[in-house]
Amino acid sequence: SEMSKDMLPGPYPRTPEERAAAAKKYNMRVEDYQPYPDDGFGYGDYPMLPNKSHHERDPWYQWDQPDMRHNWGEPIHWDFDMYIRNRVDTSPTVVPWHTMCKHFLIFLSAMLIMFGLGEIYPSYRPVGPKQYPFNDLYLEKGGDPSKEPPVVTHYEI
Amino acid sequence: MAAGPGPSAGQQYRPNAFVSLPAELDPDTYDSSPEKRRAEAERLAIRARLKRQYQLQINNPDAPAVVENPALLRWVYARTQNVYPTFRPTPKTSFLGAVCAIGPFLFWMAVFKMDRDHKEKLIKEGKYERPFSVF
Repeated sequence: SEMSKDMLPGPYPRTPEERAAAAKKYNMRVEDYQPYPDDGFGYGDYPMLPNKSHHERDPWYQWDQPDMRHNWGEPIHWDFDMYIRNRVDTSPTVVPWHTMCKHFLIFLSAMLIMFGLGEIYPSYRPVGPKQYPFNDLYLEKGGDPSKEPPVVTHYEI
Repeated sequence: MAAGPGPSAGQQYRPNAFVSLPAELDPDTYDSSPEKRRAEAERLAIRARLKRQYQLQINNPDAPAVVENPALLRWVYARTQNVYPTFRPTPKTSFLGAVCAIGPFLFWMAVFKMDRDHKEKLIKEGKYERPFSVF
């Protein structure tokens, strides 16, 4: 692009002057500018913005780009493509997260325990072996038609 | 005796990495001090300046075909071309690199080897039924 080297992101700022210059470059206040910690992960001097998705941005404000809820020149979050309105939503929920987790885990564990118990101790109505007519299907099973089929009785009186 | 009314929903709410605190429950948004107001005013000034620049560009009769957004260009550059120059091998990055790059190889090698040895053992014992293949 035609931007000069000092307008593009660079290495982690070490001196206060570098921080002030980086804040000015990213159109932020010096007090607001907070780079990612210098762990060698490759962030450089990119600002660390709050991890809030674009679902939370004001829908009624006149953004320059209404679909992205983003203004021209505003510093873009590192994970901006994750926080767009088609994807991750970090809006506050009606029920607290820990309550939701607790309810879900209670339900899931109850269902799994019941299914497990059902596998270990199955219970069904009493069954017997299947009974077939015509002398236990003598002719269908390939028995000789000229011979007398063996008589099969399934009952006792 | 019954206990008093329990904690309200607002008091029970705790934000975490997946959900954020609404502004109504955040005491930070109430009772702005003069410093906060000055900070807000400065932010508004920056925002207004950027908006003015943008409006001048798009309402220009000789408008250029594409109005570039330097913030977007910086974002793209930071995520693509600025990662390697700013990368530094530290214990954390080396460990993560080993886990993500070499770990899957070792894992799948172990899985396939164990699976094949198990099948071989079953075949030697005569318990494995060779599947019939039409190819």
